[in-house]
Amino acid sequence: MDTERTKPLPGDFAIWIFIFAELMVFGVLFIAYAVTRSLHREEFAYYQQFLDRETGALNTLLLITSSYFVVKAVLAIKQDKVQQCVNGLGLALLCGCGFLVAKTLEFSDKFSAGIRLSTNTFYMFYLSLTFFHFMHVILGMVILAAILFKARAGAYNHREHTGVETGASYWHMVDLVWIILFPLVYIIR
Amino acid sequence: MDHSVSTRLHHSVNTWAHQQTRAKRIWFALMFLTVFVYTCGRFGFSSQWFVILVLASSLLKGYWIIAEYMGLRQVARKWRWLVQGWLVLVIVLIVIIHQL
Repeated sequence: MDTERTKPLPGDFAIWIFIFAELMVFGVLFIAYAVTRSLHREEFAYYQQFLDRETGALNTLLLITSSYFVVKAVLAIKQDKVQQCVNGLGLALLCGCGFLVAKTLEFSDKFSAGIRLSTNTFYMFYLSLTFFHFMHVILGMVILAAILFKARAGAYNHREHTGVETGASYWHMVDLVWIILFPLVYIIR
Repeated sequence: MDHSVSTRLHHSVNTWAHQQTRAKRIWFALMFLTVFVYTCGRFGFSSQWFVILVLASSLLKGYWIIAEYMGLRQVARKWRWLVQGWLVLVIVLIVIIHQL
């Protein structure tokens, strides 16, 4: 319905400025990766073989699932179901922890094999993109944890839940970026 | 309970249940597409059509995340198009660059 489509952006407007800025940065990085890959196809295809697709796929599933739990948390608080909101945020954080553990193991595997930013162009992009995203996951988890504690303290209800929507919007942005990053770096060869 | 309050409450609970079901269906679809793309990648597909298929699935997944999970389906078009425009632009550029 058109009347429904005039709602304001969910959460604090300031987070959307931040989200748009982040999307622009990631967009430029993705295009830079694609252009460089088109200039070094053989090199990129060769080194992509050594990436752990299983971990990449697992991380995608974890982020999608965490986003689902965040949606549940937002829906719950709009119905004054505080405990369900807290549970949703807790489960989303658990999935986020799973992502961080899997990614840390992946990074540690690469670093122990002597791979650094300076190893070659492909690894420079792979490490930069994934680590930059990794930092965003950490920031997203800090935000979700802060919201969880506030929700548990009774700071949100069906009338006032801007904080929950703000954190949720940021977390979905982190998920959205990974949705492109995963196939771009891990799958397309 | 006042009849109008009762009706509003019933409508609110129904909407909530509908939104929960919708979110769950989208989660299933996102999981399915991820496993599908990963499996295709495991079989070593790398043709240009495969690249388009993979990025089309990312486009669909991104669309669902923006519209349903971020909740932009219900906001003014300019905001929705700004985020969806970013998604379309990035994916189309990746496809074009890959074809060059």
